Amino acid sequence: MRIGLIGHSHSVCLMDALGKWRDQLGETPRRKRDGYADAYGGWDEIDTSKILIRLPGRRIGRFTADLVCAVIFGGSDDYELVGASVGTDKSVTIFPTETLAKICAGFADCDLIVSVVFGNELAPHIWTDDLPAYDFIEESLPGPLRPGAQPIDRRYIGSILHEYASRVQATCLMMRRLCPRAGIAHVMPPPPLEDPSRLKFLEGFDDAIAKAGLLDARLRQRWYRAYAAKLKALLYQGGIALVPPPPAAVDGKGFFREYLSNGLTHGNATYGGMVWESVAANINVTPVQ
Amino acid sequence: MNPYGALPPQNHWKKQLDAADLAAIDYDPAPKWKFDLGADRFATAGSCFAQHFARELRKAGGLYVESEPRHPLIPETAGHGYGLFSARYGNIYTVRQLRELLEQAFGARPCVEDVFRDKTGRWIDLLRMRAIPDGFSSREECLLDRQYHLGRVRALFEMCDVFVFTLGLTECWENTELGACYPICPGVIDGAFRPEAHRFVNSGYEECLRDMQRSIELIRQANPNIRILLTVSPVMLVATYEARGALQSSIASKAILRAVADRCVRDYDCVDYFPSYDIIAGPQSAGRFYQDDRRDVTQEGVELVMGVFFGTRCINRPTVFATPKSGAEAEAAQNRKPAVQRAIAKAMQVECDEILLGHAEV
Repeated sequence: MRIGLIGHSHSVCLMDALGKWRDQLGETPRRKRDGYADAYGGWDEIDTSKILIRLPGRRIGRFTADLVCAVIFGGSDDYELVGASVGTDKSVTIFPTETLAKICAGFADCDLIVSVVFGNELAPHIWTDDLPAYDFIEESLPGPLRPGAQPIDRRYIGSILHEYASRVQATCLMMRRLCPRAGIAHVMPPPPLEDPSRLKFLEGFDDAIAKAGLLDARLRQRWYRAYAAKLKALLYQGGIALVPPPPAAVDGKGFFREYLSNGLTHGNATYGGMVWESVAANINVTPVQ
Repeated sequence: MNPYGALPPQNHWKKQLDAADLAAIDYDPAPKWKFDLGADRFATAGSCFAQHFARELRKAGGLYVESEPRHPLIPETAGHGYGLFSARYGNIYTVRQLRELLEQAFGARPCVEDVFRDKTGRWIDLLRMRAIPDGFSSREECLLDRQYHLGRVRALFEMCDVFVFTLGLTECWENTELGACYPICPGVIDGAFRPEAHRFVNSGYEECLRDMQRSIELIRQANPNIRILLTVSPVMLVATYEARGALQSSIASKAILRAVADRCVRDYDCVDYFPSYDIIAGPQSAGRFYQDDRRDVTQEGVELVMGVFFGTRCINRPTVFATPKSGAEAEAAQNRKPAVQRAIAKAMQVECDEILLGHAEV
């Protein structure tokens, strides 16, 4: 089985779960990135999007797979993977960036593409309590809204989420067009932690949280669940599966288990392994021995 | 020698109105109090004319209170009724509407839940149907927003020093099942007209006075130091449901509301009247401040009213405010009217539910 893995920072934990890979980047930058775990050292020093990392014969659940991986780090000059142009008739054309086209060429013979693209778009909304008090209804998390908080209609929350989710959707659909024989599964980022106060790495949110405080944990959950529902619906339309966080990685209230985190928003290698198990469990093909 | 001889000039029609141009008339010679534009916090409510007042007050740098501002998560372009008034109640045309809103806000009666699902699937609060044309995604969100709104109305009266209320109409439609009146008849914009539940009401002087008195009492309970400035909208009715002409109904309604305001000024130290209606509709203006439809007020009229307000009512008032044109300028303006009028009308666009009656089958 051949698997292509493409993602931004949330793919790092999946890569780390597979073993050594950074040496394939050529030079191995290890400069510490302030506020981030060691896994993200050298984050913005190399344009990793130009490098395909090959990890042959890796164990993915019940499968043994050859992996081709593209990790798009923050330093990439091609962070966005699709572009759009508007015609004179106002029709919109989506096209792949040169980087995505090259990555997909590398995925040509893959059976499955695992996407972990983007994933931190919600972070500015869900961590800092910097807006006038608000809340909104999320059907999967019923219960009273915060007292005194302005109820925001789901139309407006939905339009914010749609903007984020459609970026993922467009990227996944473009990959499907460029790699027609591969199935595509997109991995949700981990859910929010309930209490990040013990965390060492706040990934750039230190000042904002210190200044404005943490957003209410239940509201963080609402954002995450609403985003997951929106993303699932959009991806489903395109025949793309959404891989939710493994149930074991989530506590009874739906928050991310702290021992699986590697900073405010990211999972660690153990979590990455759990995600691979989850992906493998959902691969609907007979393993090729 | 007679008792009138010792009275000040403004007590005599001829002397009060004997001025070179309309801007020089002393329209408001005996205010109860003056406002400090640099310190007093104003809130507004009422009919569409109150929107002009709010806008001009803001432009002049007055401290305009908004207890229910747009949340940053709601786009500026959303039809969610922000910024028109101090809270998101939309136009409050009748004193009864004000009284019912205040009773709900201050817990004197339960929140009135009258919602409607429109043909696009959005849920509309029929008590604020034009204020929030975008509606809501669900009945629950619609009602939650109403509860929040009532809380913000409550907060408004703790935040302001001056409440400016423009009395607009006496005619309204009520829901007899809920005992609540609408800003506009159901079925005109949204909702469905149900003859068994929706009844036409035209409040007379006694009813309007009782509603105003009750409103004043509720407001003063919330804020004993508040000052209430009443005005009467000079904008005429678009349509009447009475068996008489719109002109007759307009004049009757304005007379009743003007009398109610007068009575409240006499009865309450905290209430005063500002003569915007008198300035626009009085015979001295000879209809000059009405637009071509003879119903709406021109920008020139609004500017004159606000000029008088800033001039007679305000200390720390803005140094520059518009004054009406001289006779020659006004005549020239009249000659340019078709083009200018359109531009002004556009600039003057205000949320006026009542205008919709002109397009509705009533």
